Amino acid sequence: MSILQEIRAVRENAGIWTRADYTVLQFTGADAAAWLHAQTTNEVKGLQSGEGGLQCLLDRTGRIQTVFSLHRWEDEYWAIIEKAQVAAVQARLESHLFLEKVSMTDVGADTPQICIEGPRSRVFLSHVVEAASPEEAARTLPETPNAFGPARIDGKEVLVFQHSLSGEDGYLLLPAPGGAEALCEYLMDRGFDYLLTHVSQEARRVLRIEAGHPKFGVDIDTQCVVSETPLESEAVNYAKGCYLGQEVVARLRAYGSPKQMLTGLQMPDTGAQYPDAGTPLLVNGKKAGVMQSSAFSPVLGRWIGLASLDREHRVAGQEYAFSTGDGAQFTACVVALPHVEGQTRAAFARRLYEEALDHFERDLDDEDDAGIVLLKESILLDPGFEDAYEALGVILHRHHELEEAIHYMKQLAILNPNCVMAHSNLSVFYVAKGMIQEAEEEKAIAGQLEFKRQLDTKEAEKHARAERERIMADARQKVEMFEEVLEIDPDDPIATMGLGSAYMQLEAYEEAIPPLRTAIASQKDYSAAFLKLGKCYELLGRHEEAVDTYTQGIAVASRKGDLMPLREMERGLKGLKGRSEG
Amino acid sequence: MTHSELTLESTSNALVKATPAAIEALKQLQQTEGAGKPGVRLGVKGGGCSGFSYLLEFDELREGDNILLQDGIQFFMDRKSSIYLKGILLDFAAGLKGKGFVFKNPNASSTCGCGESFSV
Repeated sequence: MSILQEIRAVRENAGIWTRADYTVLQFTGADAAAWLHAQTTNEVKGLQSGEGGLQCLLDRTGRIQTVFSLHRWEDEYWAIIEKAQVAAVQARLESHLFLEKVSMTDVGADTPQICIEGPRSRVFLSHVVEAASPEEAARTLPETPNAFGPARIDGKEVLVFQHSLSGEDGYLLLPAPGGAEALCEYLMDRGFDYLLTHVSQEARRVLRIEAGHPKFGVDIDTQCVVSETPLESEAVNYAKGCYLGQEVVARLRAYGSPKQMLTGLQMPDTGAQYPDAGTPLLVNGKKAGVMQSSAFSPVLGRWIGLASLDREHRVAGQEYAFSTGDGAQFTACVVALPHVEGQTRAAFARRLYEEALDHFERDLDDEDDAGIVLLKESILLDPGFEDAYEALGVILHRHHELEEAIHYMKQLAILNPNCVMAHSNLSVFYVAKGMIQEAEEEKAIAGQLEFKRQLDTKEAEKHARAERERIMADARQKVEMFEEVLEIDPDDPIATMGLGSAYMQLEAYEEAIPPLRTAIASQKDYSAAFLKLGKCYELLGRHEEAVDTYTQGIAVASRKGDLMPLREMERGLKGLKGRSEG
Repeated sequence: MTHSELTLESTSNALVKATPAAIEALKQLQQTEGAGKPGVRLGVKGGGCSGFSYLLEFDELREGDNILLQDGIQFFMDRKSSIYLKGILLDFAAGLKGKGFVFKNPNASSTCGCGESFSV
């Protein structure tokens, strides 16, 4: 199987692999939580049993010493960590453990870990985890990143963690010692029907770079400050209190944007080789950063890389002519990570729902079960997806599967007790079964709910009108207030920005433009003002000016490290470009 | 919204079909009641004697709609309504109570009374 097929399997379906280079460290003792909390970058004391989080140990200067995930089960804490990094944790224990009662044991060195990733991985696991039904099994699987819990597969207990290398929905399975090989064989056998694909190390490397996940010892090392890496968003809790290196991390956050930052680069597939990890990158003869991991992404059809770039050169969307010390030259575009975004469970469930309706609409004789299978998978992935229950119930009814149709429609009624269509459908299904009394009861409920819905709609419209009037009155008051300030100082950036925002609330976008432009002229790195100005142009249909404003704003926000306006302007620009291409 | 997001269905395998009488009536109405509206929306909502009622109105195209073209009339149908409307024939009939559009649903059971008509 080619790398492209393996990568597609993980992006569209499910892939499996084992890893023997990781282990599990078990922390026990009365002071385990307090000690770990005082050492690591993320929350420990607040973890509930079955929860976990990404963690770093830093040195005094904020530099990363090791990266791992830490999970709590009752009074124990387990770190899932690369074997190569265990020594750093051991060293920390020896240097910083005094009177506290904490002991650490390596309990996973001989047990390979099994990874299953891809948007259908949860569907597959729901059919192999032992339970009364796949729906029941899905309820036992961990929901959020790093959460975990026990499950039984093939008669044996396994710990199932939420864990993803690729950014897609992913699970890490920890079998009992000696049980990995048999479990893997069993999963591969059962996975045949689900097109479960074995994923090679080479494909995993590409998936990792696509997801923008740095590897410790490759893309980041003990010289990196955590704030310079994408780990900051997942592994640092700024409210947890003191830990070794915390002051440096907090100071960097207060200053805004670190000098270096791990960023994405994308290069055309010219047949040329791109620089190896560790190669300094120059722009106009001056050092601009350092290349880290890179690979050809068959999904994107171009080379992608991770690079530590300085502030001036990490402007998303900007192309640079890079050169290296040995004279090699190449052009690359800076992109915000990740290169490839994983699909959320809800988004993939919606996709399966749409596919199911495609099947249903083509199947004019109601003989094809493909739509039913897809809708059941959709519900396994998103048990709160009301449309999928409704469609499944109606299609099952058309296929004369009345018992199942009633089951799913009842599930919808439980999920949303105010759903008129659930009760209307149940009434129809009961009539088809000859259960007239039940049908009449459901019909009565549907009638009451419809009446209530109409009343609620009127009430909601009344509230919405009142709320809109309140917001408008508030905005008019702000316009008066900011105009008074601007009479004293016409260029005050806060007042001009405030006036522009107030006009936007009043939907007076033409009037909002001059003060927002003044705000930018007074403060050239005011990224929030660029965002609002771009939005005004967009809402007025002045798309060229909106594109120009967003492009300038993205450069400003990238340099300054203003992530929120940066992401919003990137989304705005992408939407405008999509519209012009469409 | 882009047209590429839409599913186009031809009349040869249409989810819903209309009789020549219905098409003729819709064309006449489009000039008066449907002025400025590019198509006819078919849909389903809760309520009505059988628990559901049919929706038939001139409307704009909305994101995710199926478009069905028949004899110069564009029908718009949201994906969710398609699960209820598949196989339906839209007719226009005259009777003692006056003229009206009639939905003929081959899947409706006789007790449901799904052939609800709309006065025009």
